Amino acid sequence: MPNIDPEVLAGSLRRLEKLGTGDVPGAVADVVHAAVDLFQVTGSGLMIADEENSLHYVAASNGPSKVMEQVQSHVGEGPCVSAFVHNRVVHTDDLKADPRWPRIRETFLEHGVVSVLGAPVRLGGVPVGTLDVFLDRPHDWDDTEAAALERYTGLIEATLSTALAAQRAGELAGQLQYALDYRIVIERAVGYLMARRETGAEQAFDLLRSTARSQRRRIAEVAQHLLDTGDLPG
Amino acid sequence: MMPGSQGAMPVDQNALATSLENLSAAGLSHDRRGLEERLDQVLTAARDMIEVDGVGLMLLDDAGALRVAGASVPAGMALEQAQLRLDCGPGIDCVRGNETVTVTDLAASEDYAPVWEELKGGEAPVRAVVSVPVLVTGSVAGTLNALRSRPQRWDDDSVRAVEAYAEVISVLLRLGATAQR
Repeated sequence: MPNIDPEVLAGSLRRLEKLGTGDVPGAVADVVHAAVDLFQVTGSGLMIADEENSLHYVAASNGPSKVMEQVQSHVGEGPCVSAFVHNRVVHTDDLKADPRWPRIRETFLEHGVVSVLGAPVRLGGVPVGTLDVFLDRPHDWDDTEAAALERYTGLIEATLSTALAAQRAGELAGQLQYALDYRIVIERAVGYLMARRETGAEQAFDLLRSTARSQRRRIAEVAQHLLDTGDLPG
Repeated sequence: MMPGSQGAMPVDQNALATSLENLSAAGLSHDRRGLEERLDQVLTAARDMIEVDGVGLMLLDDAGALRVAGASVPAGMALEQAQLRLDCGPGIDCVRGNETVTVTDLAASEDYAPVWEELKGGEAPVRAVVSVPVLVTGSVAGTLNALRSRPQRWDDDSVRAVEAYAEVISVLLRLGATAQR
């Protein structure tokens, strides 16, 4: 015990099927909203990255969540950007006293975002975005909270996988399909450059991006070339 | 994190981390068995983290009838079955009214006296109950009940924690129904 009765579950699913469970992005939003109650935070948000490593808002529980995602997308820095680029949980306990992200700090604080915990969201083991939760006051995030958020991203990943499988997610499906098709190649190329040039993840990505721009090619193509030949094109 | 009380959490975050570990993508999308297992994990996690003696889940079937999907203790199963048999109880009212129902002591409740009559002879019968609706896209899909075998006044933190688990159950059901289409 407890054991879920398969027949009762099947009956419930048949009922929900008839009622219509809404669109798949709606289910993604539900998971993001559920995080607010489960973690008892002020807000939560989910962002998915594009080719430029720029994170784009997919779902947010409230206004400040949207603003914090938009400003991070715009200036390319912030706790969620760091969580994504470094592929690990990143937190700030009190943004007022944290010098790491000067370009987003003021906007965050204006909108009541004071402490933030962000975790990478992965598909097929590769980071494709971030899930963040925040509070409107300072908070010392501890390891258990970080671990809990990281585990919760498992539920997000299940939802995103379903979104892809259902192929009814519109723009979101496009973003995710891109992530699946290209992120692995880009990640591997970044790892290759980091090892060969003894550099950090951000610098390695910047090198891929600047090469792509100067060659007028897509970052994923440059990454594939690097992996195929061992050298950057050009 | 409780609003207004630094760092005091209604749920044990260590236990939450462990319980969520297995709520991963593998198998959920296409496999009913995977969904059963995950619902099972959520019920177990809810029981452990809200520190109650048991939890029970009732779901509406495709004919609109409420049925027992699972319960973590025999006393919980007895409560759910008694409610369905008598068409009376906090879980029934929760689903009908689409609202959270709390009972401090079933033995002292006039509304649910018939339920207590059925339960009182059993082993460690349920005394305190909180029933929260499981909502899927705004409609009631069932009810999650948390139980204690002693009279207990339910504080806001405990009720919110049960509601949070009901939300997770809702997400899993929605995914299951979406994947099935």
